[in-house]
Amino acid sequence: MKPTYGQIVQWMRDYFATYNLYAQDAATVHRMDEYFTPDLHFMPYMYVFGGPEHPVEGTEAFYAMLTGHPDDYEQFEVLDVFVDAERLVAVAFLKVRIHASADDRLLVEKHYLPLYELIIDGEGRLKIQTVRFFWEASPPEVDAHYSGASKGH
Amino acid sequence: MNTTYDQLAALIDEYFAEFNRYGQDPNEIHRMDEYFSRDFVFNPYIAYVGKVAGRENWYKVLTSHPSGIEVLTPEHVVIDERQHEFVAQIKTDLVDRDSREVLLTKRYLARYPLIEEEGKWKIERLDFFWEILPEGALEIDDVFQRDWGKRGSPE
Repeated sequence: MKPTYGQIVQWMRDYFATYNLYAQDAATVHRMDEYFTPDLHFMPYMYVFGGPEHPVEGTEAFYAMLTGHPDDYEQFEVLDVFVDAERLVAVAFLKVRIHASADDRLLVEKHYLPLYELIIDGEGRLKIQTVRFFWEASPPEVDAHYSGASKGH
Repeated sequence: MNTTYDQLAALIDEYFAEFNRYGQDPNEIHRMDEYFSRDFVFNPYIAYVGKVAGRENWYKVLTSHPSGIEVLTPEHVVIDERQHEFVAQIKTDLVDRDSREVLLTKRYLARYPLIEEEGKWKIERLDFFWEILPEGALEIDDVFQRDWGKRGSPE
């Protein structure tokens, strides 16, 4: 049975809360299995992550990316969630703060607008199958630094 | 004003079709009054690109690059009927007006909150994100500068 609008909004908010707690720590990242299909597609619409021609395929590769920047971590503040319950798609408008892991110093603030294509899996659970990822275009040197492109990550 | 999901979907289809026909032509631009509210705001999340407030100022920007025309194809549309908003991932082909050559293609992701005005749903604001191409790639502003260069800016 298809989830309702309100159920999807709550599920997305739970997803972001779980992401903030567990997604960037290799020891806990598998808690995100609750939210992603194993064959997740992550489509980055920015060249510093390879662009949409080079998606990240599968949750393990995605987790390697999420846990691959131990010098800093990002925290999501959900400004808004938009849900198309007919098409099972959600979009989140996020304010993101990137902090230094060593001392929690704020490094960068930006906005993200990711689009999430959802499915109901074989066990009737809502999951994210595709993330179409757009972020605020900061000055190129800022994006390169934050993405790890300038640090060899 | 009660509006169904299907009515919003029809409005969105119509908006993109009309934008491609009239949205960059100074002689026809006011046909877009059907879709943009008077106090429309263009709100780009792009470094060094400024906000544009007011429909007339927005039209100046849209008609400021006559030699390069954006052709928009919505690829993914998210309709939030409860909040009266939609989000669209758009493929944009920037086409040379004279040769019809596609100069570049990139994707936008845009959020459109709607407002009721004159008994219709109109776009109140455009929160605008775009694909970030590699440094040195031909960019939209490089093409628009062909026209802006004559006067130095979109205005």
